[in-house]
Amino acid sequence: MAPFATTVTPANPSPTPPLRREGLHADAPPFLGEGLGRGWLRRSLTRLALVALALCVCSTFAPAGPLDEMPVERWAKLKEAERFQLNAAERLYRESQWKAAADEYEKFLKLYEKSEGAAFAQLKWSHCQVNLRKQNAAIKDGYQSLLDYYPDSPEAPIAGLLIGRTYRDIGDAKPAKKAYAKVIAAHPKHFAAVMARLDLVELAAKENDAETRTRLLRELTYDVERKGATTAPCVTASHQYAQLTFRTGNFEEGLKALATSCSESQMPHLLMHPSWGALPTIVGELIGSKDEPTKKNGEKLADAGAAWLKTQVTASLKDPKTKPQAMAAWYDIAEVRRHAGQADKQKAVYEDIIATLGPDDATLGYLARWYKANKQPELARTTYGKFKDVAEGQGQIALSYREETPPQTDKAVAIYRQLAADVKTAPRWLGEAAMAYRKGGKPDLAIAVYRELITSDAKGTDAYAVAIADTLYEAKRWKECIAAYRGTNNFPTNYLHMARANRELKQYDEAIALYRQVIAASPAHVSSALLDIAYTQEEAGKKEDAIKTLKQICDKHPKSPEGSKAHTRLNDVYKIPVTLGGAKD
Amino acid sequence: MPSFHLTPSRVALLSGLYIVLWRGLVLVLPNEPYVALAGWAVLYLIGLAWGIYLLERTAKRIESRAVPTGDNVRPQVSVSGETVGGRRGAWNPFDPDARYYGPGLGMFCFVWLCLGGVVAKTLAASGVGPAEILQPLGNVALMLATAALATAFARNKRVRQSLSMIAAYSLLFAMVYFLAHLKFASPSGEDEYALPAGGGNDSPQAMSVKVQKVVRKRYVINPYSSITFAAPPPIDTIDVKLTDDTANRYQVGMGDGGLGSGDGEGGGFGSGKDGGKIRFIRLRHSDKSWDKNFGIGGDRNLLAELVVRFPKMNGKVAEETEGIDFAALGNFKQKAAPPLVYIGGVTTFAPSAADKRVLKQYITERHGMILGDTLGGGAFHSNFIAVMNEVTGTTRVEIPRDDPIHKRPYEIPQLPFVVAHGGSTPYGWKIDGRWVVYHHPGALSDAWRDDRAGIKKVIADQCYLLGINILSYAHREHDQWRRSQQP
Repeated sequence: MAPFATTVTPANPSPTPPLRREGLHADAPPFLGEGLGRGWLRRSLTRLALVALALCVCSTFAPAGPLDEMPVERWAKLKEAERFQLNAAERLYRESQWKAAADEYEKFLKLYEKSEGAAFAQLKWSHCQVNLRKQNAAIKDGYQSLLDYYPDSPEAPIAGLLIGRTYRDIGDAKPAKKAYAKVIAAHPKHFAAVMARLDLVELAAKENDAETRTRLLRELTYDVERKGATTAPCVTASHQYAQLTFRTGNFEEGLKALATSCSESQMPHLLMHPSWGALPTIVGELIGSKDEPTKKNGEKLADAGAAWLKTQVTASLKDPKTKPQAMAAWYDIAEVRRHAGQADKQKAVYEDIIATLGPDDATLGYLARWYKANKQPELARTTYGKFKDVAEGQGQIALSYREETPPQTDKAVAIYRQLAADVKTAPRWLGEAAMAYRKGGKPDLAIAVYRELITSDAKGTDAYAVAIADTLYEAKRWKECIAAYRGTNNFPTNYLHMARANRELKQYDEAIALYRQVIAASPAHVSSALLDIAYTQEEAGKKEDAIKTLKQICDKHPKSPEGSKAHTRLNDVYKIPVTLGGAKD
Repeated sequence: MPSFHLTPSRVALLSGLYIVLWRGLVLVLPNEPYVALAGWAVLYLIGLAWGIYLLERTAKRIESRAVPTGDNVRPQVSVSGETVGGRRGAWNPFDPDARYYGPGLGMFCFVWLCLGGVVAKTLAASGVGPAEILQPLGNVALMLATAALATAFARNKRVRQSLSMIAAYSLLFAMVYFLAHLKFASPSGEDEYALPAGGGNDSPQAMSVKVQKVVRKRYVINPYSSITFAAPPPIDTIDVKLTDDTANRYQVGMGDGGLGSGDGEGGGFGSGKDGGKIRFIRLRHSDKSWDKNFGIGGDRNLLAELVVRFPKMNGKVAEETEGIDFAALGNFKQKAAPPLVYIGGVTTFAPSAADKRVLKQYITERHGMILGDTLGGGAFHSNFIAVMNEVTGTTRVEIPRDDPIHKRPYEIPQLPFVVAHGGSTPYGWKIDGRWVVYHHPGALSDAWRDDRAGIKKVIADQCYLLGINILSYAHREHDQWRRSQQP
């Protein structure tokens, strides 16, 4: 990791509830073929959009944070020639052409030593050195020079911080701590000092220094003024402090720490979020421990968390506007119970919701999944049968038949066929029926369904053709699958599968010809296709050719994983030490 | 033509001849452990055959002497193939009727041997005691326990005698085996790695470079801009950091040639001793490829290359590379451990808890350094990283391209490798500012072989230089530490 990358999470995460479920409920999001109708689709799309938005926000922080950007006001102070030169360097920097960018920054420093941008150019030159893995040069000739020549520049505290970070990244903890201490002493209120403290927390964690870690985190959470760039590191510290206190079973203190970084309405879902409160994960870890006191801490934490969430549910249910938040918090209680291994309490939560608010598809879905997880498929199907969205409920029943061991394919397909009576949704359900046949080991029936789909749903013809070929491939009907793949256009997968099938049929020359076509048309697959050629030659008994090909891989692709495999094979199987190869990083 | 008969004296002669031949073969093939092992196995069988023969002969003689003769002797009735002797209570171990060939003693021995074996194996597994002694000790005890149990349950006195003899013989053989493999170290019981005395240095070495046509850079300057080519600030106002660049400044009395550090003559180290040598030691571990590229035509070439590149080191570099096990590594003197140990492998690296303790002690208390080399695409790479994380108590970091280990005595701007088994970045573990582990991800020692694995000579040369740099770094660090430890 480059030392100047801003490693903090955005200060203001999206407060919208959909984000909250990401990664929390292992059994919550419906997987392929388990759609719960338009409602689910809409919710999923909304979540996706919000996640994408959040990622965009994060990505704006990552590459260009306060550690490697110059404020616009200072850009305005540059003369035109200076701006031209600095822009040229910045363009190369953005393109990750570190060597060229470093040269351009150096040129800037030679030409405009007293410019407003000189310190910034020196800083960026040092960043380039770090990216070129010349960390010692970055520290001594870059960041330290900046401190020596431009001690009063805005970049000086950043350089001090990055000296510490670079030392840390090359394993020198002592000088790193010294550098951090210098920054904290020289610029106590600068955001670099805040970042330095956060880095010291990381070092303390590595050194198992719990006392220092707790002290620094507490300081960053409660004492440091959050203003501008200092906000983000303090928010990160508050997450870490909350998680640290949760691990000791102290729910109240953790909650208090989280409250410093978000509003009350955001609290329930941030409590559950894996990078904020991470309550379910921590409960699971503590309860999974073999140490009895730790286990008790976990139970205590789960009870405290569930009780607090329940108060949020009660409060939010009073206002119809906040009912969605109340429901989400309610499901969170069940989630905490699940991670605590308290299956009965988890079920009781769902039953409580149904008793209080009446049955709805979402809660019934959770309850049904609980039955499935606890090996009561009949009760799960009965619950799915109560869905208001009948089609979705039936789809879930069919899926539950498919999930049984051995799968009850015919029952599932019968339901899918009934659902396919609706022309609008027929392709979806027929596709599910074909998949059920495939997984149930009935390829002919699956192919028949796909053929039916080709005639009824012309838009998806290509995908159905691939599905037919894949079905034959999975069924190891090599000759037929080769013919089927010829009619598909998902290159290079179809060629690789055809080659594999030819190998199974002992048609080695055809297989090699296909691999060669892949090599000619897809540069990304060259080394893997060459390795496949070598294996094919081995299967064909052409050991000399196989050795030649393996040597070719070592020679031309020594940096690839295939190069490693070829080298090992030559050594171990053929006892050939002269493998060719050799390269520099 | 007279036929050849096997007489006891002839068999004894052949047995003696076997021992001579076998030991000779072991001397000729020192790196073939299976020759020695197979020899021991055959020797055991020969000894056993002799034991059975002699026991049988003596027992028969005793029994024939004890058979009562005379006219008024009652006829002997055989029960289960055995006749009741009148000599119960004899003490001669060759006599099948000796009193201790009863079930009681067998059972007693079984219980105690079983207990001893289980305790020894448990201690070895938990790493409480020296595993290399406790493990075989436990095995022997359990084997003897089995023999004792069979003795206790045997119904025939001759069977009981034979089983007891086998157990006693096996125990004796095991003792001989251990005595033969006992290493007699220095009088203090520890080995010593002496550095060569002298006063070398690791200043950057001149390297041959190809002359390339260089296109000179020209700065494009805007003619309308106001450019000031200002003079740099007065030299006195600059706080110049004289650290790295002046690290090799000349000191009065400093030696002028060869690798090392110190103020003696020629190459060598200040803490060195006359007769001390730079050695290349590799660690023997459970991976079957631990000795890949070992010895002549392999890593020995690195030592030869060192002498070629630093002629003043001639006589101060070992001629052969060595392989040692964990126990031997732990047996070095506190302040005279090897500065560098090489660990290579393909499939696995799984030292026991006791072995890990030896490694930890070696790098922390004895200031040692480990050079790890991934020689194949197996699990060695990930195993090595996991073990080193545990042993060092820290995590690996990328080793900078401009780290002193890549700069002295040779500048190596890019990592050379044969094949990138574990990526193309060298990782290291640092403790107190010192590299304690250097992990090469791509078969470094393959390039040191005579055939250099068929790679380009330029890259193979770089691999040699990297090896020399690592050797130099480890020895310099160790020399400084040794000197700091001197009173």
